Amino acid sequence: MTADPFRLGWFGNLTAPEWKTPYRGNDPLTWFNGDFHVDMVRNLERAGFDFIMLEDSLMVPDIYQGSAEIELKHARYAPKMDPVVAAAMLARATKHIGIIATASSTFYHPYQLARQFATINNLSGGRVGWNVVTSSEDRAAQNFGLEKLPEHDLRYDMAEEFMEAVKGLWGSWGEGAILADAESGYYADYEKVQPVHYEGEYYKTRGPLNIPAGPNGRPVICQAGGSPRGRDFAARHADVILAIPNGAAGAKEYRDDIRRRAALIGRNPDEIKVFSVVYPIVGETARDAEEKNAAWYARKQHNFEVQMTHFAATMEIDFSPYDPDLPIPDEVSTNGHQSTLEIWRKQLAGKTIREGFSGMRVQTTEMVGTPDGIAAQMDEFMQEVGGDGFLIYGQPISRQYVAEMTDGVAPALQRRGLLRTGYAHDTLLGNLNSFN
Amino acid sequence: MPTADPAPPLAAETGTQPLVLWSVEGGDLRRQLASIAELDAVGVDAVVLPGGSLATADPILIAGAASRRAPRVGLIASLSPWLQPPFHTARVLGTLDALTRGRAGWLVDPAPTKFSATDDTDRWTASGVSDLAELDRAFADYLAAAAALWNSWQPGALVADVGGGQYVDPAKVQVPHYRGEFFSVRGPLNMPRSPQGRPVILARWPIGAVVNDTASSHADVLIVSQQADVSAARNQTATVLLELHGTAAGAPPATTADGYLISGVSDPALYGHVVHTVLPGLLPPTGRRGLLRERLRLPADAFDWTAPNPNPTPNATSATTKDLE
Ligand SMILES: Cc1cc2nc3c(=O)[nH]c(=O)nc-3n(C[C@H](O)[C@H](O)[C@H](O)COP(=O)(O)O)c2cc1C
Repeated sequence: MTADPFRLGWFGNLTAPEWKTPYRGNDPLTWFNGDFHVDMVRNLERAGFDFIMLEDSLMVPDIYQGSAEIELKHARYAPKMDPVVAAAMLARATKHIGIIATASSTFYHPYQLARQFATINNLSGGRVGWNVVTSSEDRAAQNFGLEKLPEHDLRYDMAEEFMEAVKGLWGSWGEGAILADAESGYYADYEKVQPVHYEGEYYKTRGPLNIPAGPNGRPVICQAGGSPRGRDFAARHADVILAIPNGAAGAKEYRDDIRRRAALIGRNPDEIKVFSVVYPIVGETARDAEEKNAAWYARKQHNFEVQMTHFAATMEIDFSPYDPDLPIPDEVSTNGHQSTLEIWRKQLAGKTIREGFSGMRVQTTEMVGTPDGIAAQMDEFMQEVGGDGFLIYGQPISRQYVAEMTDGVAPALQRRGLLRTGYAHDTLLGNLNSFN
Repeated sequence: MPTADPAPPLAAETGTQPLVLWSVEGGDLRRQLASIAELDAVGVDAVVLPGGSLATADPILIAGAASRRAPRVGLIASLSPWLQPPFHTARVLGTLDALTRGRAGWLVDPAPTKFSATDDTDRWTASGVSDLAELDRAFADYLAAAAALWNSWQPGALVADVGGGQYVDPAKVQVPHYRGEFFSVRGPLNMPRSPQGRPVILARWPIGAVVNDTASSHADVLIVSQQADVSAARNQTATVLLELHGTAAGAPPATTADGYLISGVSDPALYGHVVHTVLPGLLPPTGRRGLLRERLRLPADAFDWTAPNPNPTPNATSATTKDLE
């Protein structure tokens, strides 16, 4: 028995590629010119990925030890260039693959965001998506004239309004509003372009937008909420959901929960595709893969430091005052990615901070093997979960890792009939929904 | 008496040939992108992408989208400061400058906003503000905030030192802690200095009734609409362009400006004439290359790094041992 076909997405960002590998070439200092990312996205398209998702954050984290030193040493969250500008470039460098860019509802205004994503939706012929995040750092707030980030659930209240305003703006150009009629001399039909007059508790925007929303009337909506509020938001608005549940059982629970929430509000659950994050370790032989995997975990101090930057960035938690040889104290909490902290706490149960974090990898389940071995593990996982897709996370990204996925794992999946071999539709939404 | 050949419009020597910038306006996005690629091939120095009118897309994204198939031309986005906070503007222009290897420009447009963009915080916004003096002060503050961000990474901050395991030298990244009358930005920017140091800044001159306004006193390049204004604009800045609108572009007049900004050429016949007949007479056959600021003959020191915050607070992030040594 095999699973039904599923999809692959790619976790990307405008950050430094893997800069220590012997195969780093000139990329560590030249990637700012875009070549590394253009090559990457073209390879993903060749391999049949549905989309690349460009993650984002808006600060240089300096929480761990009260300094940016360890962050800038490893360059995980900074430097990071703007994903929306890069998305416009990547869209024009490709023909089929979807480009999903992250933007924070907390730091954009609905008008500006609606206009930016409408612009790329037009430029890309309907291949753009917006990853809706509410941000998680006071440091980012301080870059936008605020002292503190609004509290977690309030951010989702604001995001609901934000979404309503943005959808209103995207709808402000009715179907057929653009005439481009040389004879009558009318470019657009003014009766079909209507102000929105949105007035909420948090946002006001008059509208109309100054550009139509483009193919499908809106970009694809992507979201990664893990908390109950986040899940409700995702079930209501998202076409694509990203998640890091715990194992296949956790992924099934998460997907079923999202589908149930969607059905409750009258949405067809099949319109939502849930992508579980995995970080496959690939080798030419099974033994080769096992060795690579063991080497990955053996870099204990490196992994520990990287996890410290991760918690500093996404949760603004500084673990440096705590004894690394004791478990995470109960008093540790966050206004950032709340649900994520709870998941880690559970997973690390009992382990000390040092031990737990030096052996932590961002993944739903561990996958180690040859390209065909990984394909088999994905198949098995998907039979249990029921469908949708995987988000490949190989941070930091190297050209070698891209090749392992695009020229190893993806073709192995295609041979098993589990991955698309072409794009039947012009738009990302069309391709996402070309099968259930 | 035999008539001499008419003098070439301007000296043929490359260094003094006129600069040619082109304003790519409105309409279908794919046509705009095709036009930018064509103007790139002809050797135009930069295209200006307008931002304010009905049916204009976001120019920074058009620039990003065009950047690969137009690998030489400067890409200048017309951005109103009132639509987005300084952090976004500094970051998107920095990103564009990086992705284009130093071809980004910003045509500043601090006119009162037609958009209503407010939220529930008490941060200042330009929505509904029509007092030009207030807007001018706010714009000076906005530019200073952006400059503090562009200067928050020193040259040479990226080391990618594999042996030492260090990607960035943290001592070269400073927290500006910018606090102005209208805007405050803690910083640093989350990307390093871009190839030009910062984008080239352009402004139209004069703007409204405000004399010596912030935009014209901070711009690297001023755009005037009549020859009579050239010498006054020159008192403000090194590089001045004369705007030729519509049919005027069909026969560029002699000018003491450094070159032209061609705008309002949408009629296909006029477009063809200007691109294929007029431009080859103005531009060096292979076009100019390199950083946009060099092509626009701007002094390099105007783009030098300066400390983002002359009086850093003692608890600033970058106060590492290296700083204290
Ligand atoms: C795969 C994945 C990608 C994410 N990307 C971003 C991102 O780019 N920027 C960001 O601020 N948050 C990002 N998040 C965080 C989520 O938006 C969300 O805040 C988090 O999963 C916690 O859920 P909650 O907001 O419901 O508590 C991501 C989460 C996941 C699982």
